Amino acid sequence: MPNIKLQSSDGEVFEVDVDIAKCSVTIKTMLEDLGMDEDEEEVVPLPNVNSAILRKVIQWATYHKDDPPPPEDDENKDKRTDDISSWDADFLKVDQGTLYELILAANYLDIKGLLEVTCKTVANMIKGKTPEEVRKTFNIKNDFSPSEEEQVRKENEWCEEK
Amino acid sequence: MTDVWRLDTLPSDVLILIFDYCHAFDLVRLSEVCKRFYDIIREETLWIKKSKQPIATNQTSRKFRERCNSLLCLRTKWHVSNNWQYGKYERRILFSQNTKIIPKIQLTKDVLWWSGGNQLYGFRRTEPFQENNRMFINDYVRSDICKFVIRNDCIVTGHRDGSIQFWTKPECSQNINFYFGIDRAHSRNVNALDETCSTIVSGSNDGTVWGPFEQGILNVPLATINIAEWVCSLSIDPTSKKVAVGSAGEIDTPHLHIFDLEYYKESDILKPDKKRCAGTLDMVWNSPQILLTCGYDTCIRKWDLRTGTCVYSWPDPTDATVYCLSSDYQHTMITGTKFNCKAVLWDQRQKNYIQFYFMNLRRMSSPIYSLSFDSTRLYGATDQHLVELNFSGYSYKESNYKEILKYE
Repeated sequence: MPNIKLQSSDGEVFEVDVDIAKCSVTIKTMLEDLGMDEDEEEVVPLPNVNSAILRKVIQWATYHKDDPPPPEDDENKDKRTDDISSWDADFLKVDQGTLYELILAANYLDIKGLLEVTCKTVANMIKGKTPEEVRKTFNIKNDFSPSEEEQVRKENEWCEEK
Repeated sequence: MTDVWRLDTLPSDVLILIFDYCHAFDLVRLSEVCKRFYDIIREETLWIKKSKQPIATNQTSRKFRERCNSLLCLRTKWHVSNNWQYGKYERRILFSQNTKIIPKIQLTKDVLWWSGGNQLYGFRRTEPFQENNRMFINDYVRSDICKFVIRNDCIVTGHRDGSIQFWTKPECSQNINFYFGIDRAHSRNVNALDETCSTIVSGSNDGTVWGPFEQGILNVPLATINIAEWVCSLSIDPTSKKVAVGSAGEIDTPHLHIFDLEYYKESDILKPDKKRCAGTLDMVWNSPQILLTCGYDTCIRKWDLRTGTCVYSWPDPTDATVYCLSSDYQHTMITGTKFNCKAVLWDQRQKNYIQFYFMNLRRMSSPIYSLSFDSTRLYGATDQHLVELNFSGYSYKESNYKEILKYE
């Protein structure tokens, strides 16, 4: 099976099956556009992804290599967030910093399935929380002045206590 | 990388990806968290897709927008839709009269049309509403109006004596003037009428469908289709190629027919349900393939012409006859029922109804004979009153009858 070498931002090189690497649209396009020969000992640099994250991404892509392509979005439906597989849920039991880095990596590498499942995980952490609870969960500072906060609350009054 | 990423330091495009998975209510709360989230959520980006979904306010259909008095901004859609769902509105009697009659209404962007007895009024939808700012027929109308349609250029009325009459639509004056009439279009009540830009189709108690009438040679019907029993309702599909005809369902023949308007032949056969269906009192084409009907069987039925079957039915929660039906041509349906001036809000994506509205004054009971809605207002015509429920504002008292009555 042909392999490809991926280099993380901190210089570590990972040897990966080409088919697995190609679940990243960014890498797939790179290989096709540059006409990289699979036999060549070329290394693909990924300056936006560090080794810890790249290792996780490869782990995810390896597990999901035989997945059918994700379905097209249905414009008329609210996106579901309750359909995360148990393997993915376990895989994403990481600290928030790692979770965001996975989102950024999935976005940069253009891996739709990983991006979806990581975004859903964050959306689920937001779901049903009051603004104060959101601040607490995500360690966000409230930078509204009291009068601004009052104004925003007034605009949003319609969806209180539902 | 030394800095650890936090949710509020992620790039905006990534935050939008995440927020896109959040429900509208979560988005609203998120906007109170910090200024950056507020700014991102204020942008329309996140609401474009969401605003296609809310009930009553999505305004996605052009035909629906044509009768909406105001087009709502994307965030307002969620607030107003929420009022619809939880029964937060202001009720107002727009017009009353003493005799008990069977009125009909039709809603356009600027005018709410009402017919009852031998009167036809066009109430201008001004704010504040003025009962006297209305158009009316100046001449004496000798026979009661059973049904009317508002065309771009004129008004067509169907009468109890079987006549069909045409009236000019006033631009700025008050007077609706007689234009011409077909005296003996039918032998009895003209219960059903519809129009396309070139033709008119009518149906009557005598069980025939006339039409299409073509402009210019209006005294001679182009075709008469025989239906064995009373015609209660008819509706021309959005492509003007077919007409659906609903009949009384008293005898054991199909009560719903689809005719081709070019050949005047039955073009689609709809297979009735196992349960014998009774008369079809009202119908709306949701799209060229989907027809919604309601009537004595106390259900809304959704027919798909591609399969020729009833693909879904929603039974009225109080088992009442459904007199009338209005749709936003997307997911929202509102029915008017036989008892207690009760209207019911439905979402085609859901099995159960969404909310009840009681459009009565004090404890009077009447059917809602006719109703229509736009994104902010519901209009219903009962035997003596024309009632408006306004959902557009803030801080209304909640009349959440779904919660109070708890019908399955």
